[in-house]
Amino acid sequence: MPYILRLITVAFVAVFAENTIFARAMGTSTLIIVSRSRKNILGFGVCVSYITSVTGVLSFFIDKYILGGENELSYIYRPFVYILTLGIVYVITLLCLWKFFYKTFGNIKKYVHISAFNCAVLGAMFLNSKYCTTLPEYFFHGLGIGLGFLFAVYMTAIVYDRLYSREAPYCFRGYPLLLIYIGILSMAFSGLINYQLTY
Amino acid sequence: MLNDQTKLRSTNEANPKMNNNFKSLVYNSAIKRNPILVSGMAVAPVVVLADTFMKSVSLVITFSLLTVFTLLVSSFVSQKIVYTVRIILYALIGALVYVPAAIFLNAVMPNEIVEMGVYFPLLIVNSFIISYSETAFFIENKGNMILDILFSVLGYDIVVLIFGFVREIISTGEFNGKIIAMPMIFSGFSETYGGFLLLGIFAALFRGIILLVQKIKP
Amino acid sequence: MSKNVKTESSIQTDMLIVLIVLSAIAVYYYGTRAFAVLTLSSAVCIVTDVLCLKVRHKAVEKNDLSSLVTGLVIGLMMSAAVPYYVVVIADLFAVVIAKHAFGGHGHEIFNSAAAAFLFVSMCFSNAVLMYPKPFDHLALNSDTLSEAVLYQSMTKTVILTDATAGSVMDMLIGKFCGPMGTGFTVILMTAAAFLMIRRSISAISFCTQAAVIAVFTYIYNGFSFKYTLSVLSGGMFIFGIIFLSCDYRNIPKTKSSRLIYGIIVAVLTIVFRVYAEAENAIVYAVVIAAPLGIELDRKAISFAEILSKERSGIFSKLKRRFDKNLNHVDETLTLINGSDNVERSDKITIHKRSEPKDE
Repeated sequence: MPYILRLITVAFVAVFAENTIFARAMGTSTLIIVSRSRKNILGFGVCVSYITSVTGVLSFFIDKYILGGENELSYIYRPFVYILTLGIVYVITLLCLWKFFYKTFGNIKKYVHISAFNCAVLGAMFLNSKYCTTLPEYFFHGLGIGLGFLFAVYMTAIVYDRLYSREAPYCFRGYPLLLIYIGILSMAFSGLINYQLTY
Repeated sequence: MLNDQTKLRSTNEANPKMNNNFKSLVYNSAIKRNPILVSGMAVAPVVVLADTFMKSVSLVITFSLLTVFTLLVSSFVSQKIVYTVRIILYALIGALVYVPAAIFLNAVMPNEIVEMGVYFPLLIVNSFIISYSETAFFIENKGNMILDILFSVLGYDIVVLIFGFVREIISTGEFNGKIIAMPMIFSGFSETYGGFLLLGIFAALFRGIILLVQKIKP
Repeated sequence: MSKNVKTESSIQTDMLIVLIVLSAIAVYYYGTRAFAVLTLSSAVCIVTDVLCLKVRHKAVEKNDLSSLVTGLVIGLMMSAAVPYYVVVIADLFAVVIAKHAFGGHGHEIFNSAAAAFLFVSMCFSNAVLMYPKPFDHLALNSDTLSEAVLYQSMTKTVILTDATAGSVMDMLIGKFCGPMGTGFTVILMTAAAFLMIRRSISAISFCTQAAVIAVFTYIYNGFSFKYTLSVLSGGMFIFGIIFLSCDYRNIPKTKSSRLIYGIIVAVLTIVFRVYAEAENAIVYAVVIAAPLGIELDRKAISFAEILSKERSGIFSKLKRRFDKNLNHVDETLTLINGSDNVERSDKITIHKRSEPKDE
């Protein structure tokens, strides 16, 4: 029971307190692109969460069997191995979708690539290997990062109209206001952690 | 004789035209589409890492090195390859360029690389590389696009340096260890949220300045 | 328009009456320095607001008291010993960044006072979160106070030691270390009742938040009345509910969403208080809940539209009840969306991607 509680805490911390956007700013550029339309958010979020949790599980095995041990040079080829894994997951996902759910595939393929290759997903793999030790932890942490990203995109998309409204002064309208909006939210979320984040 | 004259005229005309083209290229890539202040590319490392001037210097060096070389190599990827595979290829090229870059930078500035943490390898998939690799080399000729990329990176670098400088002064009241007499110190600007707020204010000011310049010099 | 609709200026006047009463008590407790802080805060807010309107080429509305309300709310949330420049920065942040950058009066996303207080309490935590004792009248020019006369707030002590120091009476009349105008529980409750009767704040939202927080604290802390009271009176809970979360500018416009909004704010407050041990938990909660409030309104309206298509059946009764709240759907929609003119052009210039060819 305490172990299950710990796993839930790991996921919750990844979603809210150490949110990819509000605490670490990873994938802000992707957020700017995705939050434009409210329709695709859910599909996109599901894609990201799926990829972060699957790669989370895979990165456990990579860390243990491929990059494991006291290898000082692993920092050099670690990104290559991670990206290769990401690429394989990406291709297999697309093939499965194409084979079994052809209709959904048409809708999803637009944002599969942007959900696979962004800082949040790759960052999830790096952070997994930094913070987690067991397989369930890798999975829940990865899932939490994906859901946290979905949460951040949702929080931005619901006020998109306001940020791009003509009422906002020209100098602030759009991108600058978006950054200030994320900044204020990030300020509030930083109250959730009373320790220094490491990266 | 006539032929020579036309040749002369054409070269005379070509020069200012080229000059104009060059100017507009620099204006477009470094100012009008400034990667960080207008287009919002590669925001994460700036917001989190560039909280002192020296850190922004190391960010600028690593970013420029990785981005320019990755994009140069990516330009050889044929457009005939399927989109899905192409995207993976770009990311893999980034990871390959990262290998010599990491060895080199680790030898030159080991402490700074450690400070950058996971944000250093994350520069491989920054949105600047992703959006430029997909579009840059398919629209215009290669020379122009290389110039475009160089000046965009330059625009990014200059902004990041100024950003780091201002952020260090207002959040610590020091510059590179020297105390500067500031009436007040906003310690919050060195945090992530402060980075977002300051970058937002920078972007707004930048837009304001461009508007002002356009009004004075239409 | 029915007679039920209150005008904005009447709400502002009601708020202002309460704020002035609170300010008077704050001045009685903390002396002339409190008066100076409150005056400075209001003045800076009004002047900055007018300047921003001039710069944006907008007309200055003479009966718009919102900036005065913001100024007083910020002032009352501060410590009586706060340096003057912190107050000025908070006011500037509230008016320029949190209000006018988002489009000015009526278009804010966050409560400007909450965002500004959060900003200064994070940037200058040593100056903002240290308080003098009540009736320790400070000199006007005491800008750099020695730490000998300043203490951490009662809330902080409660969080750190899990024990309450003062008597019940002290907590009811606000005689403990804390922000200037947020501890007078009895007066704040009376003010809340007054504002609810005048319909200047939403009774649904206020009661939900107060009840959820009070009941949770009571159960969580072993059914101790004194402890619950110390939590509610310290940490600006009641003040925050009245002036930050129930503020007419950022509370949802439909009744159903006000209820859900109230629950969200209360739950967030509890999370910040219990999990993160934040001193002024309600401020964080209000900032995070603000965008959710906007979305709740939209959902309520689209739900009402779905219901209006149902002519009969179990939904028809629900529909009739729902319609009562939505007499002015169009008006509410413009209030929610800011305005109809949304600029969707590509202000973010990102290179157009070439379309994916095939897989």
